[in-house]
Amino acid sequence: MSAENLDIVQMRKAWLAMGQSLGVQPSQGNDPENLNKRKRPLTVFGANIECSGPSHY
Amino acid sequence: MTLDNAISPRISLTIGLRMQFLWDRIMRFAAFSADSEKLSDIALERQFKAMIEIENATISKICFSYSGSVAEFDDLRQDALINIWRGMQGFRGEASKKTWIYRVTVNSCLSTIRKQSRYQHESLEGLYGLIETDDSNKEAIEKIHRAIGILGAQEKAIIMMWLDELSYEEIATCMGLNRNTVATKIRRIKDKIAKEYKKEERI
Repeated sequence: MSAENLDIVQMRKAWLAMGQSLGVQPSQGNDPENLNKRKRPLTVFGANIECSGPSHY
Repeated sequence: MTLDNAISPRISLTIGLRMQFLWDRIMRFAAFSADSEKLSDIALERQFKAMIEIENATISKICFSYSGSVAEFDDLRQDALINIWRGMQGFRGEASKKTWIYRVTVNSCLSTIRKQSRYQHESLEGLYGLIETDDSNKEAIEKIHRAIGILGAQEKAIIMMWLDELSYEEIATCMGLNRNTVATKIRRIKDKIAKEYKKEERI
């Protein structure tokens, strides 16, 4: 398949569908008051690291 | 009593009153500024929520495309939201909101990935479990995610913007490239994706 044969319409449809289907509600985690409080620990190497805020900033 | 002694208490009183008057004015101004700040915070918060409401899908798609696991997706999305919130005051509206969201979210994703480069990538099945749609759509979404997954970080950002129908000029501005470079890169990326699709068809 060459780039000319790519179904761009289908690709864009899939891209649009990706955003709609991710199931993340806009209200989830977009409250500025809660943004700096990590709701769950960071997962690195499968180990849970408790992190009260984005310390890497 | 000398003349000086007679006048000085009056002068002290005058200076004292003037100082009090000035202090009151400063305090009143400080209180007014604090109120204005509170008001602008509320306005900013409202603006932020409205922006996220509109661009939520875009932010999620970008973070999803840079993710190899559910944990990574959650972290990238949360960090992107933090960075958008922090950057709101500096947003001067010179670029379109979408271009600005792209720039902040892509930079945030790249920065988080660099700092957390030791993510343990599970199989993509876990990540694909987040997709809530019918089977045919799910297959197409997974296919495009895998194809984007083979691209470099900059290529990913470019193709995502192209898929979102941003103009070459907007992509160039966002990526700090010139228009012709963007056009060349898009052609090459499309070639790579076509090859990846072909490979998948063979399997």
